[in-house]
Amino acid sequence: MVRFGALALILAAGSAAGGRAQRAAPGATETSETAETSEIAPDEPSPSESGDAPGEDGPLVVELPEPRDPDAPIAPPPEVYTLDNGLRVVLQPVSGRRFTAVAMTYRVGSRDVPHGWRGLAHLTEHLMFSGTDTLNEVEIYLRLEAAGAVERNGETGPDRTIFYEVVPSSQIPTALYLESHRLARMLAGLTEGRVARQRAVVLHEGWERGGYGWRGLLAEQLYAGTLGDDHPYRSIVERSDDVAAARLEHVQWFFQRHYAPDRATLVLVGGFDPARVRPLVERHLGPVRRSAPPVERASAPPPEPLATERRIEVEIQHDRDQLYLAWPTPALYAPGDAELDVISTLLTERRDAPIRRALVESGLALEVGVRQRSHELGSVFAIHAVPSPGHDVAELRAAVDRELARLRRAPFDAATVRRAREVWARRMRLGVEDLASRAVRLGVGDDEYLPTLENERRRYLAVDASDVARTLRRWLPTDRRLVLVGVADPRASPRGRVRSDDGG
Amino acid sequence: MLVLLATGCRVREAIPPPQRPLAATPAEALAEPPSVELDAPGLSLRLVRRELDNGLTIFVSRGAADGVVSVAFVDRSGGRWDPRAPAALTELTVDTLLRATRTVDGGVVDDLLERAGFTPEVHLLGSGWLVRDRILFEELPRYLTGLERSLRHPVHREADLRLVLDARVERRSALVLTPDGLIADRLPGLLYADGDRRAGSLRDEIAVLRGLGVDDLTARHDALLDPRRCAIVIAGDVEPLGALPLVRARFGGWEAGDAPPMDAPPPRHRTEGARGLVIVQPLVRTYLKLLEHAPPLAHEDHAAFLVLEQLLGGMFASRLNLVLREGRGISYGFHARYAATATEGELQMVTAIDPAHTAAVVEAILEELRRVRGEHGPGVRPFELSVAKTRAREQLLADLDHSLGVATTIGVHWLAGRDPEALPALLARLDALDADAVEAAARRWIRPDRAPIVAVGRADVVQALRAAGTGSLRVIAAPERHRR
Repeated sequence: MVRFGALALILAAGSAAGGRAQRAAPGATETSETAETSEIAPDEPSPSESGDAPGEDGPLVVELPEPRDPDAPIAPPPEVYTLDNGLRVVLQPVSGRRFTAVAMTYRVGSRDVPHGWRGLAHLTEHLMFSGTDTLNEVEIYLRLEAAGAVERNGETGPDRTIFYEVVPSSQIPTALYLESHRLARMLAGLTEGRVARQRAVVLHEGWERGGYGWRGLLAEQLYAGTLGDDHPYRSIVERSDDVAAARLEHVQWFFQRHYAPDRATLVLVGGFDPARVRPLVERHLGPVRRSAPPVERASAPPPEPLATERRIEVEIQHDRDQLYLAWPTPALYAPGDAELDVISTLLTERRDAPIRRALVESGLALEVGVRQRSHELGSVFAIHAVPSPGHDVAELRAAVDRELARLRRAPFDAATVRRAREVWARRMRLGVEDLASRAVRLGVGDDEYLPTLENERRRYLAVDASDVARTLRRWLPTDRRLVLVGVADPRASPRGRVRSDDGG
Repeated sequence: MLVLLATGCRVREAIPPPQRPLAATPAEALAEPPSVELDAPGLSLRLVRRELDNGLTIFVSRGAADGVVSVAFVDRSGGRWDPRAPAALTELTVDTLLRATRTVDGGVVDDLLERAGFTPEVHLLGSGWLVRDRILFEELPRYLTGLERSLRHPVHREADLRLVLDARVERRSALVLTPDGLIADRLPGLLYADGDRRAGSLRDEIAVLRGLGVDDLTARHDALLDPRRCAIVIAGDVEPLGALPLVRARFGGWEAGDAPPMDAPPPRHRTEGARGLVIVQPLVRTYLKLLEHAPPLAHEDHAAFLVLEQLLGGMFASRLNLVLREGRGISYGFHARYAATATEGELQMVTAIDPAHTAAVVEAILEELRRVRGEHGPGVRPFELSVAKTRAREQLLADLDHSLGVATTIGVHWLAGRDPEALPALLARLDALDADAVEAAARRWIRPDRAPIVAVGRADVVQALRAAGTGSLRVIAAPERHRR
């Protein structure tokens, strides 16, 4: 006989990863909130009820997943060391994997370009793929793909520039060889022709991804309006005219200032033996020297909440208005950063979350997104919403304000916060499979904090309801924020007019 | 009061000259290039397959002991091309399947799986549909219970549906005015014959969506979920002897239905009419897309098309991408994608380019199609064939290197009527391919003088396409965008 798996709603909150059975978390049933919480409670079949016959699925023994200690580390800590030339190396072996992600992270980003050269960091990143004096224009890609690379990319962020590839583990030497050559010999092979071609490619990318249109315009105002017009992040949104002005000598200067082994971290995550990889890393990256003295990077004091509400309107070449409500917030990994990630989940993750319910489920907005954009010098927490037909940004703003005011009167309770932080903690456990993301994440760390999946999981699990309430009050005041409105006009100029209430 | 800001006039900071020497590390100090010999491409899936009395197929594949398990549920009923219902209805039915569920006590719970912390994805495919998720080891019993309940007992509510429908209609209506949307709207109609569902446009979908109601969704759902047409795949950190009874206990009670025949009929291709379409819109770039029929997943030419996909734009080192992007800097990239189902395949080639080079690029695409057919230039060269085969093989192995990829790959292959246990044979076929075999497969499917092409761009694109020898073209103006 086969018994149907029944579903029951039980009044138990607690962690979603609560083990094989439905153990109610201690003390989780008293709050009124938990009455809304459903948890799937399977009636697990007993061996005699499972219907398995000997010889079909094997012996008549049902092996259910064994409970494991939810506090057990996700993975052993990686090995971290530094070469004589200053290159930081992080090795995270993962058993049972055929592939390895190799990521080279440089501590340079779009915040480091001089005034009026937005896009120079991105152009330099492109040129790292366009050959050296020892490898021609196509050899970096050809060698990687001939070696079976299934992912290969470069990304320029505000604080870091990352190059990564996922290769069969037997091809780690090829990846290290290419990383060493482009760091050591890219400049020796750089020509005006290569710069001109990649300049054109970068411009195409900007148009293709919408960076030079209304999206870029709004992003520019989002950062300037929250962190200030003089903040280093004023330069992180690329401009096509700046890219078009970049020449060979500009790239050479920028590369020499910022690309050096002592400004980089090499991370390997995947199926390899560290004892065999360490000598390979030394052989390929050990000989690389820096070609210019180190420089101080642009910095900024930690962000503070705005003094007043600031309003900016941008005319956008688009067919729908856009609304951003945004606040300057603590930097990546600073106290408050994890809390704001959890708050973003609390506000929109589920259909009954306050902002999603008030905007999307009510029909006011077509879409809504809430995100903490975490960066090294300061972050921006933004609620982004697009009005549904027949509604406008003023209605959206009023609805958000009502919800935020309500949350001030009745903050999220402990069980709700536990569930939201568990979303983040669970993501870290599930992230164990994604080699490239793990390598990129580890490259962002430094001696103070290494963002392993385990450290990140613990960072989120440390967030509690009082932290969330305090963070909401301190960092998301409704009367001191940026209200950024994109006013749609399909016939507007791609670089539409910007109006601000303080002329700043 | 809002004040207009000046955004145009800016002064650039002076940049000093670089230091000499430019590169401090001599080339001879660096290590020699390593060998690129790859390991033998072994594939060990450790796959257990069972079929329940009601016909439901179960696959369990044990992977790394990393605490992560992936689940894929696939249904051969009600794919995108099922003639019994419009694709837009089926898509809406499966997309809303998990939104509300009837509980055993008669209540209704929203987002049952999401509320339990899961993040299921639903995908409508040509010959069926798929639900997949990545979960923690210890969540498997709960997940299977929630999945079974959600699939079998969805609740369709008028207000809920209206919200989803209105948002979907709005998004599609906006999409159809963008270059990508304009192409997606018109290109299938150039490849497929009138009356074939695949020829349907985005505008058709919008019209269908506008007329749908709760009863349509309920009726559509009733036609799905015959266990004889379904499979569940569990992969990752899972013990097969433990997982099989869990599935049996939850899904074994499903009653087999009438098991309707395979849903999607084979495609019918257009044999007459214009080959191309130009949609005139004043843009800073020209958007180009070419669409061609290709072998279905179980066809003997499937392996050759995995290689052709790489050669034509699936890999960065494909000839067109290197020429257009790295060589001339006139595009961000040139991409090719081959997708196959049980009944058919499609090959797409897509790029966006500097309008001044439209004619040359279209000419280069058509020449490249002739080259891979062995009719122009040197044909497929040994080195590029080797790189393409490596890429195709390693991509498949990479998909099978983690639990979500394993569950999805096995599910999709089963959906297409292909035995997942035959995946190692596909690797062997890939390895055995030579240039002659790849060119022969290209000649059987790819038609350089006929494959439909759509361009969106300035008015002079029309002349450029004619100059490139694309044959008969239709020209239309893009609809004007307006504030929504």
